[in-house]
Amino acid sequence: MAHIEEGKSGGRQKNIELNLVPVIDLMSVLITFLLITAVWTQISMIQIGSSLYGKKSDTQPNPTPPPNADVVLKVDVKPVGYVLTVGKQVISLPMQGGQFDDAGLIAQLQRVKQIYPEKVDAILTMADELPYDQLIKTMDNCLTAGFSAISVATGAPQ
Amino acid sequence: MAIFRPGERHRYHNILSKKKGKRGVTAVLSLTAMVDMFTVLVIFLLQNYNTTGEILYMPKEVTLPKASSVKELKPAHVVTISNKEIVLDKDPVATFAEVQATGADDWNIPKLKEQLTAALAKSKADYEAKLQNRIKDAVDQTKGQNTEDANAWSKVTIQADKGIDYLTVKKVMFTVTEAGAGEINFAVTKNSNQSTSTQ
Repeated sequence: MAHIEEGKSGGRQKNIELNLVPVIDLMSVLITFLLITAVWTQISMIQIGSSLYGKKSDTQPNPTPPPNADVVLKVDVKPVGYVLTVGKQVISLPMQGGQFDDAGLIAQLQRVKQIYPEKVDAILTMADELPYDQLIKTMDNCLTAGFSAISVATGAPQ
Repeated sequence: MAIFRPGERHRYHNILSKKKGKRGVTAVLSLTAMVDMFTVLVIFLLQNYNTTGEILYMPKEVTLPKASSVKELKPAHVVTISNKEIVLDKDPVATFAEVQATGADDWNIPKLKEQLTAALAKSKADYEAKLQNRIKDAVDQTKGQNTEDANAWSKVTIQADKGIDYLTVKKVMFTVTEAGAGEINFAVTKNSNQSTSTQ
């Protein structure tokens, strides 16, 4: 127990007991309050790149084109799978066992990143009937491969 | 072990008492270790306690998609898309059925555009009023704390359920852009089993 022992000064030892019960009570209340108010789900965000292809406004300056912008990198998300367009080259990534081939897309995007290391922009198109979850997955794949300026095109995939 | 008849027991009953002739031993609990543990726990929880972050209101019917390459969520106008309604900052602007009923060519959601335009105008006015405080700006610049984004007022966060069809999301994005928003962000749940990229 928490106590303070005094040296032998006048014969009898004095044992001063600290009352820790209020401290423990206070701690318990504080811990309970903090655990109740703690946020357990981390909500973050995925950002669409600068509106290079979007609506121009007077308040915002015209964005400067990113490096290698002349080499078009487009990811089409179709009900049958991904179609990747790099310049004039078209790469089809059909579905694998009913699932979109995310690993194949990341591998192809990383290959493009090796060829054009400075390129950061990509255009995304998706079929209207596909769920929003698929858009986020595709954007996440592009971000993982190092393409941070993603534009979402409003037109349907070709 | 012996079985005793149930009922009241005296505090000095032979079950509870020690053998006669020996002095009773007083058990002392060492509370110091527990207080130490509590202190560490309180410090850890206080460090995780985020009072500055904006609490994002999440309706029950909205399940956010998961992503690994994410950024920290910043305060902005929030457009929530669930399978029931479209909500702008807790204020319903259209039902999901209404938005789906509009054709594939008509992407405008009038009430959302109107309310978001007004909200963005108010945010811009607030931001410009804040700019009048030149003394504070000078102090912040001297301290090197002037990290405020000039276009922060024009940001909009879209918080959509992961099962919503892309056409509805596209209609909302089109309306948000038409209302004068500068940057659109998608709210996602951080996928913890993969590494987060730092961009």
